[in-house]
Amino acid sequence: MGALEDLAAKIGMDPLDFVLKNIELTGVRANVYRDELLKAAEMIEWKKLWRPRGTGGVGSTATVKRGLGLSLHTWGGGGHASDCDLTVHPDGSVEIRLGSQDLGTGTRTTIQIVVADSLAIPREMVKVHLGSNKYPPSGSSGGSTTIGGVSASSRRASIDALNLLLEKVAPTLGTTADKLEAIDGKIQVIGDPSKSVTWKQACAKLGTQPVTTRGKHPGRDNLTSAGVGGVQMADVSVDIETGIVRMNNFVAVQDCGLIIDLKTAESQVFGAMIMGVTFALYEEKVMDDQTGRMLNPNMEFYRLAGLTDIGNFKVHMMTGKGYDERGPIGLGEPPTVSPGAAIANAVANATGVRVPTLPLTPDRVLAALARKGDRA
Amino acid sequence: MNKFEYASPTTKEQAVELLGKEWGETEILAGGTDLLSLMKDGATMPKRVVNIKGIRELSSLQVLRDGSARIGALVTIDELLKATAKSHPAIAHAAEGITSPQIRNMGTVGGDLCQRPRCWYYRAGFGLLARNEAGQPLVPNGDNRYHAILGNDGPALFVNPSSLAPALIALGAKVRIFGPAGAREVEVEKFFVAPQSAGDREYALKPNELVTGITIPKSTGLLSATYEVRQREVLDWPLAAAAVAIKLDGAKKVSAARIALGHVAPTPWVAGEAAAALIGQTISEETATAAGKAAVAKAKALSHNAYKIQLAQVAVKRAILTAAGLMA
Repeated sequence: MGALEDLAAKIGMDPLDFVLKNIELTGVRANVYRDELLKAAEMIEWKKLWRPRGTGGVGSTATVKRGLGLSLHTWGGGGHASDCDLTVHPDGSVEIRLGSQDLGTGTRTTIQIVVADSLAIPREMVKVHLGSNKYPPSGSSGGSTTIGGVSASSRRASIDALNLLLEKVAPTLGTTADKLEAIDGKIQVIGDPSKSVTWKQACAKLGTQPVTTRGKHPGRDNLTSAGVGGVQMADVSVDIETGIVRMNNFVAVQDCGLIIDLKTAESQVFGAMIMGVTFALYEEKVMDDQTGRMLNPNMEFYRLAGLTDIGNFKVHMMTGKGYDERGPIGLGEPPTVSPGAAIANAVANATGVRVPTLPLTPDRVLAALARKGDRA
Repeated sequence: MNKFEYASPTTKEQAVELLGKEWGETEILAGGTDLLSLMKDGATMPKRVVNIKGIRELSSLQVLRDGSARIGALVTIDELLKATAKSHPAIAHAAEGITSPQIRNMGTVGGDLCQRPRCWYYRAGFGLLARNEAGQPLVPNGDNRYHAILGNDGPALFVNPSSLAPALIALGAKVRIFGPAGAREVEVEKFFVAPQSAGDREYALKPNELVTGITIPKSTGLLSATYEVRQREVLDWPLAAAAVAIKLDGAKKVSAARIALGHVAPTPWVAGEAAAALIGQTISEETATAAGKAAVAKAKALSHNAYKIQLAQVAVKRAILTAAGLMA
């Protein structure tokens, strides 16, 4: 995105207009990007705050220049292979086991939501077991493929278990399984709450024998897909006497198909933005050519952004028609793609010079300004 | 970490008895914010650690109305910050620059002065003068982005890490020292020395001497400030820092000035040229800029740190403008 912003600057165009005008070049998700660009622009007040490169953005002083930059990105994120075993106990409790893992991304939460929603029971009745080789194999976490795999396999296992249970309950309600539905912790004749049993009563029909179903992905039906789009815009201030870059505002608009849990989805994007600011401005492994030693194997010179360094973040997740029907798609990595470009573009917009290397450290920013001959 | 003996004296006399005759045999523990990482990294391997936190007289803190002050070595950075916020802005700014509440609460005034350099070759075990096995210096041909731009003619190329020293020098403070021969005082600027050999320390203590505190002279009528250039707002070592103390005459012209730089040389750097450039001037963007230029007139960049010359110059300018209340 750096080259595209440089091109826009060269021909004197607002990069937002430039990208929108050429949006068809983004291919199949052109409409997604268009919507996301307009949303992000609204969130960061692009049209109010953007000024041509190097002319000093709104609120600039003699030494501190403000600038805006944008970037967009794509990612695959299709689901990996996943097997799971779901057990419904006669007391109504539910357990699901799969050899997956929660890296802190909310995998456990989302599996619990998929199972609970599929069975129409409260989340606290579902116990999720991860992280053991004794459980059915599920893919490793990489390439943002976990959510597609585990949500699909746990959905299929849940539906199969529910169907088994409906068979058991049907005679009690004087009907057949295909006429029943699970809703609000009950199993009832479709559309007729007067003919129902509670989930616990239904499970009691299992007698002494729990029922276990194996869910698989890939499997029947297309529950997930791949390919997402996102747009990010950064608003920075650059001290042109010291080369220090500070984040003002940073917004992300992201699509990931069907969102299972908005809070954990947004958290993924926030996390990507924090580490994005970090790699754009600070993070660097310094190796010594003479000794082969890493010189900064510690948290004082291997810098990460702290709370006061990240500025204000806003995240918007695209949902609704065109998104929900695509099923859950991986989200961990997509929003990590743009921060470097968005922030570097904002620095170029603020200072009028391109700093060609990340992280955008004071020495590099000052060197770029010196090349322009604009240093104080 | 190697095994070591641990001693907790309750008087400074006992402490001195417990300290070794050679550097490295013993180390003093106060806040521990530096010593522990030095020991974990193997940069120091003392046989005995002498915890001085039990010596109660070292925690005393006295700031008088005329700005004179006696500050015990064990006073924490946070206590110092609160005590000097109104009386000595230069010290308070420097203390605030340590943007970690944990370190401000644990770290001490004595420890700030006696902490060891952050030079990454030193911390990686290549010694204070950063030499390889063949005795060749690693800094000149290595990554020296954080190393010295002033006072870098000798073998020491690290920068002094003290946050407080530039401010204390600008205010004309002295370090109080206690040893077998009794108590003595030395000006803060003379407390720091650039080591000439690997066995030397970077301060003018003997191995069996102890910093007991700081004495600040009367500072009535002084305008002071410290400006640190730090990349992050969270805890981060300054890339350059400057402290100034200025006296104005009736016509608002500078009648006296002391300026010291931090993180630019193996010792805190007294910028006499910058102070001289200010004398007789009215403080303005122009005169402050000129003083900043004078401060770095003799600076010499190593291969990767030329940008620090610019940062040091800006730090001086901004410290002067802050002291004069002209910084936005």
